Amino acid sequence: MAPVSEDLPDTVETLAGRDADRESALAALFHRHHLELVRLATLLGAESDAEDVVADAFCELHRGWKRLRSEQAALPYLRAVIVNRVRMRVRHLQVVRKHVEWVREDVASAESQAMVRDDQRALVAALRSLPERQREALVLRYWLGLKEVEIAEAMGISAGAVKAHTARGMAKLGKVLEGQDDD
Amino acid sequence: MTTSGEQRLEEALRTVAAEVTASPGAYREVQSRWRRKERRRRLIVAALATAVVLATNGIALWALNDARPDQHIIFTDPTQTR
Repeated sequence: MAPVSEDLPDTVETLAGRDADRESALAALFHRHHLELVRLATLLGAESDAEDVVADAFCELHRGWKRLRSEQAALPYLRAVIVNRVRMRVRHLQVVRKHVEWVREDVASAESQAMVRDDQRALVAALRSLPERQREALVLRYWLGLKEVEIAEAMGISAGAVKAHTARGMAKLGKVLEGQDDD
Repeated sequence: MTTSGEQRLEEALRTVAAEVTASPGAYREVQSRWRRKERRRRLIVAALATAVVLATNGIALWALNDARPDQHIIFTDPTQTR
């Protein structure tokens, strides 16, 4: 079925048609990118809330669907929402952990961590200890393989700032890697 | 950091990411969540619209009720102002 044009006047039929178009577009987007986005949220530091963060991002996209420039803008929009929500969550946890005793929650379960080598675990741990902007820039660059402009859009900063955050983050991680090479 | 360092970071991120899985019923859950939010949003809009209409009607009825029968409070008679 052809999508209902936005130019048509609002009637019960056109509104229902647009709702159906939005649902099917979101379903396609969800099935194609959900797992990747959950992984992105996890790597950014959402830990066990990763699925919840991604679900919220999809709800936000559903609400703001009409405001999208095009359907191609949906994925960058989702990434930006996820980056933002994970950042808020991490800040909230930092405040909470100042006041209560906290047991560290790892990226995945102990069983699945067995698949990750010690050097890789150390590298990811070092990545997680970086300032949030540097961590975000590195995950978006080296895991999703995004370009600087796309990373800038996801993080809501300039491309120049992305370059600076990436360079600083890599310099800090370089020290961890050098330590591993020495061992 | 060297290119090999970048490769090691990519590999580590790939390995850790590969361990993350999504729950099988995720789509149904998210779909029901966005539908519930949409219903609530529409309900709030409808309630606000109803409240505005009721308030406007109330003010109009109050104004009409308080006016003298010979006084026009909605349309002013241009012949009266001359």
